[in-house]
Amino acid sequence: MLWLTWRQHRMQVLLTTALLAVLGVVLLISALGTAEFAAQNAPAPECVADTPACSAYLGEMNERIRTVGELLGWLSLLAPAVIGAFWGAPLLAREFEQGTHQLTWTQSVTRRRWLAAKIVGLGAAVTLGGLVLAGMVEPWLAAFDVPPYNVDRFDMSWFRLVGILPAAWWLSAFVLGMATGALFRRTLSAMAVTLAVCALAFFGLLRAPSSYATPERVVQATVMDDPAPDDSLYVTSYWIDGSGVKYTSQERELALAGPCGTDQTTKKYAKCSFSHGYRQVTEFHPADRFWQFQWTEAGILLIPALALGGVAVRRTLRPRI
Amino acid sequence: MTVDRTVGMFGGGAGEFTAPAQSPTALEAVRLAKRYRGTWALRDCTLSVPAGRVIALVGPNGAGKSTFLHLVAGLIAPTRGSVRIFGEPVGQRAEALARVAFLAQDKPLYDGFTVAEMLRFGRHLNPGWDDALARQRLAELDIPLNRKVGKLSGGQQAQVALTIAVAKRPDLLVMDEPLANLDPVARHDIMRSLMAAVAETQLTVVLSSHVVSDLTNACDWLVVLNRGQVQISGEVDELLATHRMLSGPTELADGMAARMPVISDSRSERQADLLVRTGPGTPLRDPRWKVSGVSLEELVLAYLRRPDATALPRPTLTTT
Repeated sequence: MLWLTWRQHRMQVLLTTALLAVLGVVLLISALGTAEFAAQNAPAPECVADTPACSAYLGEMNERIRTVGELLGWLSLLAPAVIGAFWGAPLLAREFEQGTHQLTWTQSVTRRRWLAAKIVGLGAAVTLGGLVLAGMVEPWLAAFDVPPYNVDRFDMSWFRLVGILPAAWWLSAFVLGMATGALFRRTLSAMAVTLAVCALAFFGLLRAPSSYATPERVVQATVMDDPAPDDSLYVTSYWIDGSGVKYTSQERELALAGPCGTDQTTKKYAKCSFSHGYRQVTEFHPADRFWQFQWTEAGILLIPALALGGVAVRRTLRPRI
Repeated sequence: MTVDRTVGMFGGGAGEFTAPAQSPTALEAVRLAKRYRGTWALRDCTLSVPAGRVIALVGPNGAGKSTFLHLVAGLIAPTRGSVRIFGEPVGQRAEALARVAFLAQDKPLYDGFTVAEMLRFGRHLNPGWDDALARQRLAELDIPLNRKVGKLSGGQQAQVALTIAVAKRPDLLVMDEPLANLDPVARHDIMRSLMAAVAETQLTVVLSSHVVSDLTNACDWLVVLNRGQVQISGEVDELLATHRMLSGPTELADGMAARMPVISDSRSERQADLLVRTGPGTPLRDPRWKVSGVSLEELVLAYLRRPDATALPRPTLTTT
């Protein structure tokens, strides 16, 4: 059975491995270049962004991480979609389409065992692929995460490419593809539906992590630096007055235009604003929620995918048509 | 495949089954029925066929042949009733699956596999796989092992599919329209290979066709399925021996028709042609009637035109 699974799906396995290898090389080159650049140009770790040397360094690091990061951002959508469409969808749909299920299901291996071998074998391969991807992106990020530069691990570009999320996305997309293949029995329709659902899930969840927990809330009554730590997930900030009523910054500007003037960049303006009873509220998720959010999203993906997969498996095992 | 099992199956006053006791039952369907979304593809199909036969399953398109064969192969589950193969119920168990080989209508194979890989597929999925037999058959047929299945001709693909089915070493080989979409040479070759395999391995074979002439020489048992029901089930020789075409004067036809079951009845002003089922040992001694034998094709056609007429083993299993 292992041989059959390999023989029928080796194309997908080899191509995915090759693409992962190419990505690995790109990440390696980027990481090595960055490490070299950081070693030669890094100012003191406690450098302040205001100094030209420091800001030039941070700008260059940002440039470097964004160049590759933008590419990676698309990978968080494309990779699961492709896995679902090319690993999952044909798994059963192609058998039904070409009638080969009639051949395979009348050999001496039960349908249950055949299906188990395919789903477990390919599911394990897909999960492994996702973990490998995370295992490559993680050290690449680490190459940038050298003070004074700070890598935000919640960043949309790579939040779904580190930790367990690539594995969760890939596995759920694979199960989704398998299930749509079993229900539609047409490879092309199964692929199209899988791609569409993956895109919907991706854009639906893109900014969802902010709502995976109640954010921390900091109320400022005096002038201070940004209360949200650098590596936290910023949610929102707004103003309240003494009685707790919310203000947008525009409303506040209007209210303060008389007493405090209009130049908002000065510390004097801020002081004036605080002295009039305004408080700044900042909401964010601290960095230690990273794993909680990873598991939350993994659950959001895997629970419906596995439920759908279960329905598809039951329908396939029941001798029907 | 012991005599005991046969006796056990039909013992206990289940009915006077007339099949010879030394031949076990290969295939037994009891009140088998299958419904697809409200339409009955197969209704109340009861049938018993002894082992070692080559069984022709004949019927018009849509008669339920494929449904019946899919039920026998365990690909689908019946809505009602049961199928047994050599006394064992059909189903998704490895032992049950190993006993039946199925050749589906389009003879599906994995197009991207080479012939050698198709054999490897058979070897991996069947504990009883006979690799030597498979290789020998393909060598005799001059089918190159390293060729992709998709690049073979239709006839060669059918031969590969048949080879995989035979090398599985099943007790029962089920084939759904094995000759459809093949040219006359390929049809002939396939039937010849099949007969060779039957001679070598003592297979019981069920094959369906809507063309009776394809099967006349090869098959020794005939099952006619019409509108989801079994109309004829019997040994070909016996069926031919018990059916006669009687030609005589029209004015005597009514009298003759009253004496024995008439399957087809065509009368002109002067002459009547009656296809009748004669009981054993009732010779007709009336010089005004000309008696002639019928071909299997004529017989099947006559029955298909009269869906209410049946020719089933006398008597069949009593239904409980």
